[in-house]
Amino acid sequence: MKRTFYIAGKELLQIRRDRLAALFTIVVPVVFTLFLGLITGSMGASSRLPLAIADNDHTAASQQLVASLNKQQAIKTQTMTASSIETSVQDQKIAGGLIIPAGYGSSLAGGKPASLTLVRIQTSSGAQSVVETVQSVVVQTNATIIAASSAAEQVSAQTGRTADGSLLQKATGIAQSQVSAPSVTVAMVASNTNASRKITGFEQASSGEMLNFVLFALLTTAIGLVLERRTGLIKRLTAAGVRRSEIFGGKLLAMISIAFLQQLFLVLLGQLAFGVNYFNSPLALVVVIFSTSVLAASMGLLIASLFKSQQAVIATTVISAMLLAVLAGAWFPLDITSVAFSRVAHFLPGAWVIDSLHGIILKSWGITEVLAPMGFVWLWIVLFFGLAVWRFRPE
Amino acid sequence: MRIFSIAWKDFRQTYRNVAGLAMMIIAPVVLATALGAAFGSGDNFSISPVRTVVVNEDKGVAPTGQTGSQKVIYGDRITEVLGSQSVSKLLTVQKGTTAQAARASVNEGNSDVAVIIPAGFSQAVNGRGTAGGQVTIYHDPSLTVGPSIVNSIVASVVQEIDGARAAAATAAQLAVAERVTDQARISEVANKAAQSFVQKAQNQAAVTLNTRSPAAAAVAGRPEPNVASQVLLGMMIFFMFFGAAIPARSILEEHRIGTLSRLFTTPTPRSMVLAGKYVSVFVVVLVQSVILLLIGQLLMGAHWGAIGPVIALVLCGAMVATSLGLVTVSFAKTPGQAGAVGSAIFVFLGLIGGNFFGGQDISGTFDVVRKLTPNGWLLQGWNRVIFGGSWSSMYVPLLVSLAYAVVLFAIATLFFRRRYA
Repeated sequence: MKRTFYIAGKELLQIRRDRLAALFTIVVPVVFTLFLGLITGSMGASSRLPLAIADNDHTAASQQLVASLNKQQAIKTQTMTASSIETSVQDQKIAGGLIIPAGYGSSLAGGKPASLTLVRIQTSSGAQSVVETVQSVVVQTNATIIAASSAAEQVSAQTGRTADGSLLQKATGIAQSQVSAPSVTVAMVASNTNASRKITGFEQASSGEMLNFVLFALLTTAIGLVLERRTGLIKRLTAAGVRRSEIFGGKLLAMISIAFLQQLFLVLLGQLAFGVNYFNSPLALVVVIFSTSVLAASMGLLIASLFKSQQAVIATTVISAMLLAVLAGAWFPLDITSVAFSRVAHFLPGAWVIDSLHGIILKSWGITEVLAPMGFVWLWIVLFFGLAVWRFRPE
Repeated sequence: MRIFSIAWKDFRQTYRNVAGLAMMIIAPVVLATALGAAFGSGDNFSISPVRTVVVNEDKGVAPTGQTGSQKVIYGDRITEVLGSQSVSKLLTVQKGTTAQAARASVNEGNSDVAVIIPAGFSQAVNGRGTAGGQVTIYHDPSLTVGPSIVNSIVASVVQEIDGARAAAATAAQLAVAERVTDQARISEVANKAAQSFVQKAQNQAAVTLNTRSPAAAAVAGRPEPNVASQVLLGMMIFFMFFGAAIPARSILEEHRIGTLSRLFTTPTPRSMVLAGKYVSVFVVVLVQSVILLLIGQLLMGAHWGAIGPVIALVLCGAMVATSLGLVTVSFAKTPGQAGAVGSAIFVFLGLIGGNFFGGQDISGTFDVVRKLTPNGWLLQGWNRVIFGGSWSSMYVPLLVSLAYAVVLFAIATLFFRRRYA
């Protein structure tokens, strides 16, 4: 057992002296967290998406529509011709272009339906927001038009006055003020907070990058293991009477310690610098980051046991780390992905780690709530660890 | 000729290295496939249904001026729409008993969203009190899309209900303006206007919004690029940096083991030896990008766009990757140092250049930051090409990324000349 600690101590000393190891263990995850947190935060908050409008109608109705669009906070409108809209959307100079056709106003005045065209690139995230914003204005316009026409018709029927343009205009004016001051509303309230709340950029980035870089932190030890095996150092250790299990245990202990310390640092950074509420349940948090550390260490040891060259270890670690992160919802929340992807992701351990971290941060999960997801993670740990032990060769 | 012999030797060495190939080819393809699977192809994409529990505590209200008649329960309209066939693929709806139980269901993770319609909802619709005028969407805060979907469905029904109220109020005010003074007649006209509103709103919208792609793409009959191919572009440019670094590091490796010094003792000029190394790096990444584009086209159904701009971007991308790969090596003393520092630089550039997110964000801070990187400009050029953008829209991204390539190449050459010339 003493020898296990010696080997682990030697690994930790080696890493402490290696400045390049600190780069991927500390510097890069911090930069990623900071950048992603700021970017995802600023995307929703400050950016106004450019929407071009081609008003081919030039009537009071079309001008009213444009005025309603100008009031929207999510978009920044500009005037453009219909043909310029086509090329500007194509070249992604604007997020979308709205074409109001000639005859829009006369159709509505005559009680006929009118249609607007929104030109956009389907897969653009900015365009999705523009479509939603324009749609909300269209819904409000519809409510005003129908309320006004219904009122004008009924008053006309009751009073015998002809339902002409002036009556409809008068009704539209009243309907506009009524629709803009609704008597019933909808409010979103997040569980456990009693306030409107969504996951913030730093809450997603901090927990996500913690998982994303946990495998990178173990690269130095994994590469060291490959080198020691290739240069015969491990064989020499076994010849000196050190047991295989002691060598393996020492490496494992070192990897768990590095991964745990890295995560602890990122948790403290998230809590103190970015306001991510990790300390809702310290005990649950320790269980999650310890389980994640053992998972990463088992994966790291398996990779180091399977491959014989440094380059192969680096390539496999980079690919595995990125895949683990993608399939865990570390880069983006899993609830925005397809049904099949979300299901497959939950067969793998990463998704349960992220679920637990989000549970602690956002839903005040305690130890009882994280036990089941961590139980699933430990099944993978047993699998990875078993394979690593089976494949580990001193020579 | 000797330049090409040196380049050919390094090229073969790189493409015989399985681990190197994994980084250059397998990693971008695997990641693009995974992300493509996450976000589907756009037309067949569906997310998991939102588990919704609905509690309708609305007690209803008698129609205005008709105290004896049957109560109208506006809350029923919300539950009816949430349980309708049209939203059955988006939501799985359960009826809850009390607001408290519905909230508990969300807290315990049994439901994603609870829709709570308060007791005084109908009263509020009719303007007889404001206490019950708010429908609550109580949701799991870790979910991003599901609560928004439920919110938009409920908001549209509430807007319809409020539209009926607005129609009634409008009719009442209009009747007064038309000198109707009898309260019963005003109530009647208001109720009829509200009923008319509901009928009209359900039958046909006055204004509809149609969305479509830009006409140029539609005329050419080009399908819109799928998610996997867009992700592959970001990954291709990112892993081209790693692809360039592998043969570039051979300069340091050969220096370490002495074969570079041995080469310098031959009649081959030093500049020619270095030129051979440069050519090998360029050809390695050029072949890498061609392989990835072919994989995208054949296996992922990608449509890369007009051949001219595609060739220009591939060449430009290879030049940028080559120059960047050489710069990261020119500073380093050992292959290990070059590998670690280079990887950190590439990951950072990939992050701020937008290689991990696709190129589809037009405004905001991110758009400014990404333009500080050569890969950000390359991605912008690629995005314009795959969406059918014109040559004129590509000049700026091409020229800026080319300028980056020239500057980085000059820096690398300066450092190598100092070290080896």
